[in-house]
Amino acid sequence: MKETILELEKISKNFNDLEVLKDINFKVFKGDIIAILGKSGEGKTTLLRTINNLIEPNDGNIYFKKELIERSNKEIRKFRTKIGFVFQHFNLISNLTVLQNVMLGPLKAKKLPKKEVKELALNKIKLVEMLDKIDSYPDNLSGGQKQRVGIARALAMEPEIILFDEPTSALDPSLVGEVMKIIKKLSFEGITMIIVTHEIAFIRSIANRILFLSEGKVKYDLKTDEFFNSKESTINDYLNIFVYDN
Amino acid sequence: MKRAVSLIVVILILGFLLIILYNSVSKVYPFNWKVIQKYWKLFLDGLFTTLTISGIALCFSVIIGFFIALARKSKSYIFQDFGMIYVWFFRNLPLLVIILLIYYGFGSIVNIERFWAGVISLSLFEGAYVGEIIRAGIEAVPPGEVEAGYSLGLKKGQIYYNIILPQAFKISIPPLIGQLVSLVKDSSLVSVIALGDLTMRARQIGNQTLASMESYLVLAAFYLTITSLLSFAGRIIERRFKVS
Repeated sequence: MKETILELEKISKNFNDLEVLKDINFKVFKGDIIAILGKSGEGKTTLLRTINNLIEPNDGNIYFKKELIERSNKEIRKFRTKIGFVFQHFNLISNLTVLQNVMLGPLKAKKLPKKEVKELALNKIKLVEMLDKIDSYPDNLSGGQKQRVGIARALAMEPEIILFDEPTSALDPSLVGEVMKIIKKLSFEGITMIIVTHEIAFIRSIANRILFLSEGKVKYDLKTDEFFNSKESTINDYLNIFVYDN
Repeated sequence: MKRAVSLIVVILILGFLLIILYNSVSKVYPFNWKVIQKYWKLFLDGLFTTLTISGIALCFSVIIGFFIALARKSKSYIFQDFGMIYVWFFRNLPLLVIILLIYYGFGSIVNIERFWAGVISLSLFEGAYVGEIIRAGIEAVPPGEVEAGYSLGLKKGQIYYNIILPQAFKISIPPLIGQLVSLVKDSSLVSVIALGDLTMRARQIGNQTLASMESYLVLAAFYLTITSLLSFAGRIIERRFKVS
């Protein structure tokens, strides 16, 4: 049995009268690459954000390595240092250079010594192939480059798991490939990931599990093969949307 | 190039018109510029006071404004309301009324020197505007960057220090320079409590020598020079702070 990294138990979230998430339960094991799929407005991004408490759930518990995360600022901060988050719109800090962006977390949140952090950051920047841009500001980078720095920033925290919130959907079609290449590279290194995306073909090639959200619930939690070979009409209807795409 | 030529032409036309105006006025009003020469030192004294008051009030108003902005962005309703009422109060009163209230009103209870009454009035008044400028700067920082800070596990204070304030400050520089120019102009109102600033000195000289036109023209020239220099310096600072 593989080690459980993360467990969500009965997570629910309402925005006023709108129930976005109802009773979400699932476990994430070490090395899992999970794709969260589902139609727009089914709460995929909301679910990802409740995991690191960028959105506070109304109810339910989250366990990190079997330990319950208390809803106190201090506990949540500590938990956040262990889970990376990659944003749809990159969210790089615009007054910091690439290197400073990547160093910010380990330096300020983990309070590691500067020399060590710099080495670590350069390592991660190398991994995302951005070493020639370490002194550039985000405004001077392309979308794909920004997202690669966003990934390096998450990696620099040496997290146990990385959450990707539609990492390629704000990109020019021509730039999607370079970001996918990096995510694929991470998959070979055994990094645990949860990815919200609409890139079905890409997901099929790297994910080992698919969570399919429908009406605010995890309707299916299947192995990738099972999902794509499924005869279920909901899944087929969903996949048919993409037939013309690929 | 075309732009510069047009500016020179406009200046020449205006200069020509001014000379005609000056000549026709001097037929009915004998200009006496010697007065200005004689009282030159009094003007310099007033200039010094104006610059000192403005400088000190600038420092205080930025400090006040900073805290008002933080209060208005605070999670606590008490701080928010305090900031809101402060801004409402000082933005809705004429500066002249504030000066009178502090110097003559509070001055009748506790002894306040003219100079400090002027500085306090100006600081409180401008602080409300500076507060709104800084608040707008804070709000202009993309919320996604703040979220990124949280997702890295940073504390709220660290997010303010590393992400929000450096950017808010940069965004606020142009409107802050505009406010500084206003502050210098507004400082002329302290002359009502007989604080010897530029405006009061000009009034003194005008009244005593009857050379009103001359002394007020010089006064206007002083203010124009100070504010233009500030705007110019401001543009240089703005350019220096622009990243990338």
